[in-house]
Amino acid sequence: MKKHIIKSLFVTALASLTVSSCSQPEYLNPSSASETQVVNSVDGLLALCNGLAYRYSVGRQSPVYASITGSGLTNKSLKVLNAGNTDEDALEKGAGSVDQSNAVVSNLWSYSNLVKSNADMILRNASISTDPNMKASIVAYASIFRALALGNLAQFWQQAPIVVADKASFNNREDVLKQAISSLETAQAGMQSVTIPGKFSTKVIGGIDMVNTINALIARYSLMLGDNDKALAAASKVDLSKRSEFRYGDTADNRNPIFETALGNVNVYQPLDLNMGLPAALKPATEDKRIDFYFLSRTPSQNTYRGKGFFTAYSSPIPVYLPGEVSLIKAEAYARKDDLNNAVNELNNVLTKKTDVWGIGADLPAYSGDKTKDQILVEIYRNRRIELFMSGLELEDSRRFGRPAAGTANAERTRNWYPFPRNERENNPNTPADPSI
Amino acid sequence: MRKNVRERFMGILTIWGIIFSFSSFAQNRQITGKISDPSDGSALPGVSVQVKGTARGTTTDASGVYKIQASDNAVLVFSSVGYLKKEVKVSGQSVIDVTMESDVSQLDEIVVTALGQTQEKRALGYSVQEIKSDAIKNSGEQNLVGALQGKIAGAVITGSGGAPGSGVNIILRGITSLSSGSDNQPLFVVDGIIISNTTNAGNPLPSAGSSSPGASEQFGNTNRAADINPEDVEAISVLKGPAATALYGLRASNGAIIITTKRGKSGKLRVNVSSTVGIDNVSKTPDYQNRFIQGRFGEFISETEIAQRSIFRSFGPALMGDTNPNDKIYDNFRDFYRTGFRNNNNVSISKGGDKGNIYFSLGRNYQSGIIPNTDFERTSLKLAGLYNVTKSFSVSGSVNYVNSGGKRPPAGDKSIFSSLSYWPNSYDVNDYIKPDGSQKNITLGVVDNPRYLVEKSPRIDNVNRYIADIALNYAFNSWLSAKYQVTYDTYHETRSRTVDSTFDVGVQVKGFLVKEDLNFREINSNFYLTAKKSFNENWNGSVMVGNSIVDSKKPDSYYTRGERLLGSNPSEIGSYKNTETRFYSPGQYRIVSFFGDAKLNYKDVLYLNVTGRNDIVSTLPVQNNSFFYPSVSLGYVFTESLPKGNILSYGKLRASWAQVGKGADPYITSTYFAPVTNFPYNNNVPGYSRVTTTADPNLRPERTTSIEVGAELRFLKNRLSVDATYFTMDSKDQIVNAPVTNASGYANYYTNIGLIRNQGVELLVSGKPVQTKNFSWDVSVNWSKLSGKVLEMPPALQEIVYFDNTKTFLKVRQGSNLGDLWGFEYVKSPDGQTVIQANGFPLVSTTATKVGNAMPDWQGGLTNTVTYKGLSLSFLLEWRQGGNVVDMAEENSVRNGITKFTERRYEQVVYKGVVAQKNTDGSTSYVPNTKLVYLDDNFYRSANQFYYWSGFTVQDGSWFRLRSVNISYSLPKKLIANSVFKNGVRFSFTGTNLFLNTPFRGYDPEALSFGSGTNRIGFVGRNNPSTRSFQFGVSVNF
Repeated sequence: MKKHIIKSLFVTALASLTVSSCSQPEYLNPSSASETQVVNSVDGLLALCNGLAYRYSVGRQSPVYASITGSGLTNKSLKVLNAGNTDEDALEKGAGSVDQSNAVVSNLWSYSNLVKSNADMILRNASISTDPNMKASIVAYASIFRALALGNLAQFWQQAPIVVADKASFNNREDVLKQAISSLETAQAGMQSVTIPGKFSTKVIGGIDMVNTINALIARYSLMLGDNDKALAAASKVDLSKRSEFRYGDTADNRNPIFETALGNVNVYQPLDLNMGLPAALKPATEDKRIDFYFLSRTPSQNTYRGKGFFTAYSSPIPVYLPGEVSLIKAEAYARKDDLNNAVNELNNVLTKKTDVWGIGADLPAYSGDKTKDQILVEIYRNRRIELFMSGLELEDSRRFGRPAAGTANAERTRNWYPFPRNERENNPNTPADPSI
Repeated sequence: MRKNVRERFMGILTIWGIIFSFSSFAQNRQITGKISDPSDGSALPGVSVQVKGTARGTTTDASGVYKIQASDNAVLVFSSVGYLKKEVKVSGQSVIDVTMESDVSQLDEIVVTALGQTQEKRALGYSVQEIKSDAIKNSGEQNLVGALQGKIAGAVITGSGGAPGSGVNIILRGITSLSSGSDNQPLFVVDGIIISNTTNAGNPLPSAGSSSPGASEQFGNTNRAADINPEDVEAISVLKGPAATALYGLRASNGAIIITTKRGKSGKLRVNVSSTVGIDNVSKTPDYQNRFIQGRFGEFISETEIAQRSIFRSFGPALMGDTNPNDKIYDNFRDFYRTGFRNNNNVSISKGGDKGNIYFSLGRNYQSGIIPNTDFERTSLKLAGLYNVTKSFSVSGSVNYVNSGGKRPPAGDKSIFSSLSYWPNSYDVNDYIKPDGSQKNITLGVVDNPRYLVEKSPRIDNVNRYIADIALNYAFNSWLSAKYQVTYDTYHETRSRTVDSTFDVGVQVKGFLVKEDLNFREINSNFYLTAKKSFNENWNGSVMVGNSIVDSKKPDSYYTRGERLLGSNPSEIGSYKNTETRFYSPGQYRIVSFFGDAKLNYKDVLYLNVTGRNDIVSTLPVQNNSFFYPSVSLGYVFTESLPKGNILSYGKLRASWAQVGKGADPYITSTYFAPVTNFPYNNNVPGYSRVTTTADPNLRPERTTSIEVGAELRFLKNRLSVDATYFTMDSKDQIVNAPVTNASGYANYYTNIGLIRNQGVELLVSGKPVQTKNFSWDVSVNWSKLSGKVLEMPPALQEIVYFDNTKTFLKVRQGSNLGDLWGFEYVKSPDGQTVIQANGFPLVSTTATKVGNAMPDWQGGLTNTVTYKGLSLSFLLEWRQGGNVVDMAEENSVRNGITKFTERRYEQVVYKGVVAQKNTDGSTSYVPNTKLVYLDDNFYRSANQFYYWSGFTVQDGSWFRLRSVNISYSLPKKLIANSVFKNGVRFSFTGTNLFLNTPFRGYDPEALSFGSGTNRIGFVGRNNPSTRSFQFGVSVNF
C-alpha cells in the first residue's frame, strides 16, 4: 500500500510538471506599461505628453542640448574648453571633423525622430478622450513637440523623413517644415474656443503656453520657408507678454541640460567671446545691455567668458521662443516684403526694448542706419544673433541671411548642413548622400 | 570524498545489474550479507553483486545489504567503482559479509556530471575536471570561485580586488555572448540546486557630475556564489563545454560548476571544529616618486596659498637640498592601507546509518579589509539529510541560511582610488581629520581625502539568503528509478550609502543617500526517470528522461535616492529635499524543459552518450520560444584493445559534438513605455516614453555548436597522467542590441547577428614522482590557451563597444578577437618611425587602432604537494601570460607627478623619431629628429603628446605568482588515540599571494574595475588592490 501511494505521488508530480506555458502575462514587464495600457486612457496620453517634454528637453542627448550646442559651435559663438569633449570639439572644428558618428549630431537626429514618433502615437490616439477640450489640448501639446522635432530636422539636414517607418523615405526640408506648420495649424484650429481642462494643467508639466507657442512656431517655420505673409499673420497673434518655457528642477534627471553640462562648469564649452558669433563689423555695441544678460561678466576669468542667459541654475527654465524673436520675425518678413517702414518699426521694438517678460532688453537707440533693405536685413540678422543668443536657431539664420558659408572666405560657420548619422545610413537605404560641408 | 558522493546518489540513478527471471537452477539458496569499507566499517551501498558466469545480479541497498539466489557451488562477484573486485565462493554459506578494499589505482575515477549524475570518468566522452575539498581549503580563499583560481584548465578567473567580499569572475572556454550586458559565467549548482551567482551592480552612482561609467565599478560587489561556505564543500566538478552541460540546457551554455557538499557519513557521530585566524596586507603597490614635493614647473606652492593655487600637483622642487626639515615624502599608495584581520570558525556535526544521514554546520567568517573601516562577514548555517523511508524510497533535503555583508570602500570614479591619484606625496594621506571632526583636505575639494571618504561614507550591505531543496527518490525495481527534486533559492539584500555635502562626491547635490532593496527568488522543479539495463555481458546501458521547470524573479527590487539634506538624520530618506524611488525590472522568466539522456557501454571499452533537450523559454517570441538541441559523445578506452604494458597503463580517446541554445533577457521582445526618471518634479506628475529599444519579432535563441576531442593517458602504473583537450565552439545568432533607423521611432533593436568562434587547448598533467609509505610527492600542472574571434558582424552593427574611457576602447568588430583593446598610437612615418612634431614631441594619433587584447595568451597553474607522515606542504604557482590591461587610475597619478614614472623630469631629451619635411616638389621626406625638449608638467599633462598614447595607457598585464602555500600537520594517531580528539587534529598555515612578478606598473593587475559578471574586462586600477594573506588554522575532529 505504502508503495502504491509513493508510486501515485510520482505520477501526480509528473503530470503537474507538463504545464508549459511560457507566454503568460506574468512574463511581461510589470514595471513598465504596455502600449495598450498607455495609449488607451487619457491619463496614459498625458503621461506620454510629459514623456515628450522629457525626451525633448532633458539631458545631454536631448534636442534642446544638441541644437543649442551644435548650432552655437557650428556658428562660432561657442568654444570648447576641454578637447576631451570630443564630439563638441569636432563640431567646433567643423567641416570634415563632423563625421557620421558625432554624438551631438546623431543625438539631435535620433531624439528628434523619437520625439516625432511618440508625438505621432499620441496624435493617433487622441480621440480616446471624449472631452473635446482635453482632446484639443493633447493634440496641441503633441503637435508642438512634433513641430519642434520636425523643425530641428529641417534646420540641420537638407532632407529628413516625415513618416515614422522602418526604412522610411526622405522628404526635402521644405516639405518637412510644411508638415510642421500643417501640424501646428491643425492644433491651432482645434484650440479655437477651448478651455484647457484643469486635469490637463495639473497632470502635464507646465510652462508651455500652447496657443502662443503654436503661433510663434508657425511664424518661425513660415519665415524659414519664405512664406512672409503667413509668418506675419501668425507672429501678430502672439501675445508678447506671455512666457513659454521648458521647465527644470534640480534633481538628477530634470536639470537644465545646458547649465548642467556646459555653463555650470568651465570644462565643456562656454561662449567664444562677447561677439556672440558675429563678425567684428557686426559685433554687439558696447552699450548693448543684452551682453550683460547673456554673460556673467564682460571680463574673462580663467581666459573664459562665462555665459549666463537662461542657463544659470539646474532649475532655470529655457524659453521655447522669445518675444524678441517674434518681433524680429515680423521685421524680417516686412523687410523681405520691402515694407521697410514696418520692418524698422519692429526692429526698433527690439533695439529700444528696456526689458521683456524674460528680462531681455538691449536698451539701445532706434535704428539709424541706411534705410535700405539690405542694411536693414543685416541689422535684423545681427539682432537675431544677439537677442536669440544660444537659441539653436543660428545655423538657419546664417544660411537664410546668406552669411559667408562654410568653406568660403571669411566663413561665419563651419558647416552648412550636418551629415546623416551613421546609424541611419547603415540601416536605412533611403538615406541621401551627405552634404560636402 | 568518493564514498560520500556514492552515498548521496545511492539508489537514485545507479542501479547496477538486473535480475533475469529465466535463469533458475536447482539447489538455489538465498544468500544475504552486508558489504562494508574496512577503513571505517561504513556500509557500502550500490555495490554490484553478480553470480559468476550468469547474468544474475543485484546491488546492495542503502545500508549495504544484498540478497541473491545462488547455487552452493557458485561464485559471487562483488564489484564497485573505486574498489577492487572481489570473488567469494558460496560453498553452502547463506550469509556472506564482505569488506571491499579501495582500488588505489582507480582513485579519482568517479565524477559528478550534469544533473548530479555520478559517473565513472572513463565512461565520459568529454572533459570534466574535479577539484577536491582539500584544494579548496588550501587556497585560503573564502570566495568559492576565488578558491578555484589556478586550478582549472580553460577557466579565466579574475578577482575584482582585495576588499573583503569582492566578487570574482569566472569564464570557462571564453566568451560566447557578445552583448555587453551578457553574463558569460557558468551555471552554479549545489547538490542539484541551481544557485544564483549574479553580481548585482545596482545603481549607486557616486554623484552628479561623475564620469563614472556605471554602478558596476563602484563597490566590487559580491558574486553570490560567495555565499556558499567553502567548508561545506566536498568536491567541485567543472563541466566546461556544451557536451558536458547539454543536459542543463541554455542556462549552462557557458559551462557549469557542480558543487557537492558534505553529507553525514555512515558510522559514529562526527564533530569537526575548525578555526582560522589570519592577517592581510596590501600586495603590490605602484611605485611612487620620492624626490619632488608639491608645486608646478619646479616651483614650490605653499600650503598657505591653497586658496589661490591648488597644490595637488607634485611637480615642485626636488627634496634634495631642501632645507625645510618638515618636508617629507610619503608612500601614500602603501601607507593608506592597514593590516586586515580575518577569522573563520566552523563547526560541523554529521552522522549516518542505515536509516539515512544528517549533516549540520555552522560557519562564521569575518574579515576586516586592508582599507580602514571596511569589512565583510558571512554566517552560514546548513542542515542536510537523507532519510530512507523504505528500502526503495528515500527523502532528502537541505536548507542553507546565509547572512553576509559588510562595509565596502568606494571604488571607481570619485573614490579612494581616484583621490589617491591626486594626493601629493608630500602630504600624509592618513592625516585626514581636523580636531572638529571635519575633513582635512589639502586639494581644496578637487578630490576628497580618501581616508575621510571611507571613514565617513562606506557602502553598507546586508544579504539574507536561503537555499533549500527536497528530493524524493524511488526505485520502482532494480532497473527503474525516479527522482523528484524541488529547489528554492532566495535572497534579500539591502544596501545604503550616505554622502554628506562636504564631499566632492556629494557637493553638487548637497549631500545624498542611496538605499537599495534587491530581492531574488528562483524555484526549480526537476523530475528524472532512469532505466538501466544490461543486455548481456558485453552491452549495457541506461536511459534517463526528465523535465525541469525554472521560475526566476527579482521581485520588489528598487532603489531610493535622496538628495539635498535638509533634516538632521542623513540615513533617513525623509531628511532629503529631492527623493525618487525607482523599481528595477523584476526580470521574471520561466523555462520549461524536457530532456533525455541515453548511455550505451560496450565491454567497458566503448562508451556512447546521446542527449537531447528541448527548452521552452518565456523570454523569446512565442513562435521561436521552443527549441531543441542534441549532443553526442564517445569515449574509447583503447588500452583495453592493446596488450597490457607497463608504460601505458591506461589510454582513452574521446570526442563529442554538442549544441546548446541561449535565450534572451526578460522583457526585450515587447514594446514598453517606461517612466521617465524623476521628471518633472519628484514624480508628482508621471511621464512615460516608449522605450527606444524593440526586438526583432522573429528573435531566435543564440546557438553554440561545439566540437571537442581529447585524450587521457596514464603511464607507469598511473604514476603519470596526461589529459589533453582541444575544442572549438561556434556561437551564432548572437542576441545583440543593434542600432536601427531612427525614422522607425526606435533607436535600437534586439536581433540575431554574428558568429564568434572560441578555440582552445587544455592540458592537465599530474604525476607522483615519489610515493612511499611515509613520503609522497604529487605534482599537477594545468595549462590552457584560448582564443575567441568574431567571424561575422553585420555592417549595420560594425562594432560593439563594451567600454571606452576616451583613451582606450574595449570593442569587437568583424575579424577581431574577443577582448581587443583599441587606442591611440604615435603618428608614424610610412616606414614605421615615430613622427616628431616641430615642437620636438611626438604626436598622439587621433585615430584609434588595435593596440592590445585583454584576454591572456595562455595561463597555467602548477601545484606541488609533498607529504611526509602527518606533515604536508602544498603550493600553487600560477602564471598568466599576456592580456593587456588599462590602469584607470594611473593617468591622473602621472599627470599629478606622483608615480615613479614621472621621476624622470626637468631634463632635456631628444625624441627618437623623424621630422616630416616638405620638399619643393610637394613630396614629404623624413629626417631624423634632433630637437631638444624639456620634460616637465607640460609634457606629462599633455593628452596629445603623452597621456593618450597607447604605449602608456595599455600595459602588459602578465603575471607570475605564488598563489598559495599551505603547510599542514596532523598529530600522529598514536598521540591522540585516547583523547577526545582521537579522530584527528590538524594544524595548518596558509599564505596567499606571497610572491608576484609582473611588468604592470600599478597595483596587482588582478582587480577588474567593473567587477564580476561583465564583459567589460581589461580595465583595472580604480578598484581595491589585492592582498597578501597569512592564515593559521586548527581543525579538530571529535
